[in-house]
Amino acid sequence: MHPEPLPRHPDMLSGIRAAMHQWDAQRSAPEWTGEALRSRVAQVIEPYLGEEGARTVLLKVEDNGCNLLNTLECVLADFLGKNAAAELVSLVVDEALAGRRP
Amino acid sequence: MRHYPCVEPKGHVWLVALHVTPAGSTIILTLTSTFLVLGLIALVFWRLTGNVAWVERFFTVPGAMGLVLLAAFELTMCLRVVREFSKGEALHDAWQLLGISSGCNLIGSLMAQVLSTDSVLNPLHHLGWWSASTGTMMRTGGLALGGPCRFAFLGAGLFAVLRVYQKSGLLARLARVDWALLALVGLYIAVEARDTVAALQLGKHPTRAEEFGWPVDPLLWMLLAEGLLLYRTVKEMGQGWIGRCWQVMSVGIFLVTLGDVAIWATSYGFLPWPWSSLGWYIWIPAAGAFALAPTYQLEAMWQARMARSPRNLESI
Repeated sequence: MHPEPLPRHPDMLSGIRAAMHQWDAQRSAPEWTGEALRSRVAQVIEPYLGEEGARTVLLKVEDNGCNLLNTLECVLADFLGKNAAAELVSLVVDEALAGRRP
Repeated sequence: MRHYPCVEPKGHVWLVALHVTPAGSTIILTLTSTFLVLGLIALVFWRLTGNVAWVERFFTVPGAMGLVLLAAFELTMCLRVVREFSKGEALHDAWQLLGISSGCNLIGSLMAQVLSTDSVLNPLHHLGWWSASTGTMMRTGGLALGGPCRFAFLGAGLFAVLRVYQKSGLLARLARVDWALLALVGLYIAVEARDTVAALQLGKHPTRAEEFGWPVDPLLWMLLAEGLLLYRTVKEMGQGWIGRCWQVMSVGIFLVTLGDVAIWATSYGFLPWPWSSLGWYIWIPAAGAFALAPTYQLEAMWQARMARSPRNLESI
């Protein structure tokens, strides 16, 4: 049995493309890399891992942040379970990466 | 024990603070404090009146109830934590072992504190099934379950937890003072073992309860080493929801070790009566600490789920 074909939304695709470009452009800016990025993420995870714990975990993250979410999810899932870790990683994306308040 | 939201007043932490009532830990802290205060009131009355029955009655009824109640809390919370983790997750097996340890503690407490005694709490007594020999049997079984069995599973569970910390690169090292403490407790175990061997060579016939008690001290040494390692790790990481659970667990282990040393010091006359009675009170905060540990783990998981949206709590 074949699934129903997805409806075509040309606006949706262009929207995703625009968001990806925006994220890529942001990622290369100094305030979105290295220590600045780690510091913003640390603020979100410190209440769970502690100040030094958060710093130690974030040391494993590359300067361009490419392995950030994977690293965080692995450690947090170990201590809090997958569901709770997924929520926290989403919070990191919202607060530290996208700059949104939930 | 301070509550975390006071430490880092960031946006989502305040959100959490407003929407979550950490009911479990509050109940356990209140229960532990209440039983401890009742016990200390009984101690004061004993010292004022000279009648030791005040303290004896406290430990026969409310004290025994407190220990069983806290053990029941510990088991319930451990089972809830196990349910929150999926099979195959790093801490699932660890919490399963800690849950079995809690089960041993609850059954052991029931047998040693309630079913073995000639008190109004004992249902066997009311049914006419209780006798002195039944009481001795219950006490021996209870001490075996609540001693070596409980500590063996606890040790295995904590070992699994330490491996998770190691894997994450967060495991700290023992400080010099920890090594000194472990050496001291090791010496105490060696002295006790030497005395036991000497007594057996002189023709002493140990009771079944004494035989069951032999592995307790080496197991406690292992638990103390694990507890100290967890304590150092959490201290190095800084205050956080995850570390609180293991910090309070290490406090529980330290109190149990202290209680065990107090028993030894009393039996060897190093802690004379009535000061030796203070050693009995150690078991109440120890039981509270062991009940708090899984509760804090559960609260950490809830906080994480709540952090993004308070509505997530409804799904738990």
